[in-house]
Amino acid sequence: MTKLEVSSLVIRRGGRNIVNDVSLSARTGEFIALVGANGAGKSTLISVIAGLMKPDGGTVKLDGQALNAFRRQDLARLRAYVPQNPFCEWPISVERLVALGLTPSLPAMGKMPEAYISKIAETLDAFDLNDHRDQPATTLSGGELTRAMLARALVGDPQLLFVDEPIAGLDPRHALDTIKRLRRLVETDKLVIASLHDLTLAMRYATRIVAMHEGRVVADGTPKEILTPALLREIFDVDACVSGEGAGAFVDFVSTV
Amino acid sequence: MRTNIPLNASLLVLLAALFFFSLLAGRVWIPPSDALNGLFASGSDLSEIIIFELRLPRAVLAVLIGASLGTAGAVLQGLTRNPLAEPFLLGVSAGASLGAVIAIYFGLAAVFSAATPLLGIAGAFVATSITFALGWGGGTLALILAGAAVSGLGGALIALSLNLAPNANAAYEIMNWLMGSLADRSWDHVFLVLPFVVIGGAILITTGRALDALSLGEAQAQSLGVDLLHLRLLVLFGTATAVGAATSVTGVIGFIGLVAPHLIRPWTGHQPSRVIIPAALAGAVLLLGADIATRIIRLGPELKLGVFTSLIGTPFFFWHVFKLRKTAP
Repeated sequence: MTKLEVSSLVIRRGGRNIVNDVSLSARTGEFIALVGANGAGKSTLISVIAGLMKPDGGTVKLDGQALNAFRRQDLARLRAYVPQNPFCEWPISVERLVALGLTPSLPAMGKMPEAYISKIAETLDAFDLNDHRDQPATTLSGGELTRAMLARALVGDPQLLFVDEPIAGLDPRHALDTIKRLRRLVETDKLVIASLHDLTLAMRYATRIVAMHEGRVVADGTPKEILTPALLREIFDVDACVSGEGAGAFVDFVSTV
Repeated sequence: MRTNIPLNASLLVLLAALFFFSLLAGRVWIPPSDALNGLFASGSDLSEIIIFELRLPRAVLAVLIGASLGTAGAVLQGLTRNPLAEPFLLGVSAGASLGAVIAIYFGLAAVFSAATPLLGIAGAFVATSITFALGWGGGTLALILAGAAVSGLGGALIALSLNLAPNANAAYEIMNWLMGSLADRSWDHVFLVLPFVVIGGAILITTGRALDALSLGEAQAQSLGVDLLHLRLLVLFGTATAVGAATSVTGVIGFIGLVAPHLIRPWTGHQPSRVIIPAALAGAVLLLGADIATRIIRLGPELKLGVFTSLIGTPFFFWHVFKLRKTAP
């Protein structure tokens, strides 16, 4: 089990606190949906807990060890990160793209070890990418690219997965498929932290919701506790209607206040 | 996973054939049997002297310099994720030329033979640092513009040195050198650049894995354990060392670094790390081929190598512009 401990995190940009005194504790086996309006600080928080950005104050610890005390390679093996709208710059094959997820485990030069080749094949299979194996990654559709990027992130079997807006721009079928894949990771004892705008899917699939507003965490708890009309009005400044439970839950916005 | 072996082997065979042909071609054509004798027996026979003292060092230099330019082009394109990046366009060549011109101008080269490559490397290093510093974070366009600005500044300072040259002869010498040539280069030149090309090339080759990860953009590369600052410094040092030394011996030779990676990229699955070695071989093939062409095409005085590569390389650039026009909205 791996434990993530965030305390009093502050990130300043242009004289403004983008992330303001955020404390948070999470462990493997959770799927945390990070919700909040645009500019609430979700992406920045994800970058910092992924160790890609240095905070201006506070600490991020994994199993009691500060992030900056990790060797780059060790941290890269432990956690994976997928940014919003990930892309591939060269028309490399999908198989190569997925293989890039093993970068931190590979020697500086030389051939790919046999064990990794079968790991890549397994991952392509698990993400339904077999038909696209040799296709240039630059020609994938949005849904396929999202799958390929998640496969890339998970091929190295990390304990923690941080994803920024994984279902932005996806059609309903691909959005559902992606969110279900993220949810299934909980059963294999991983920690998933994803920023989401689709609150219905967050309510149905996340095990925990962290709501942010103007750089602060304003609510943290189970979907049922957090996704209430009163809180949604505070965070998003719109009236919301919440109905149902579990897989039948709905969150919809009604009208602007 | 496909391997690069067939591609590299074909390029090596092509390179070997061109290498042998370059020993035969020139003002005096040498029959292949004499060429073999010249290679394996050292004698006083005229053809042996031509081969061993003139054409062999020239061919070796062409291979070393072509390989440097090809490697640097492949690595710079991988780093910037921009198919137009190359030493010439990013101002590396202009910086190296300026450094070398300073060495020639102040007579340092006459006192200390390594002064030209060392100042060439220093010039390349300064120019590349400025280009990277100015252009980083502003995307591809900013980097190309920064390269153009640095090239422009280097060119202006070289022009200034011509302007202020103490006598017409010195100006002529600098001019001549700037056009880029492998004519009259000796084994001394080979041994002068060899260590720098080897060190610079070795540094550049180590960047392969990081460049692959960079295909996913900077954030994902960083998340995969790539130290971006370290990577940029490696590319900066490697390029400045290999290209700086190469340029200081031959003068400016453009477009090899642009064209070589392009030609072989489709055969490597577009994976940046797999482009590097074939691009080095392709660069060597292209430069050796171009050098042979300058000796075969007779237009009075020998055609300068840098002039020739620019003449055949520029249409490639135009082709790229036309391609952009087609895909642009």
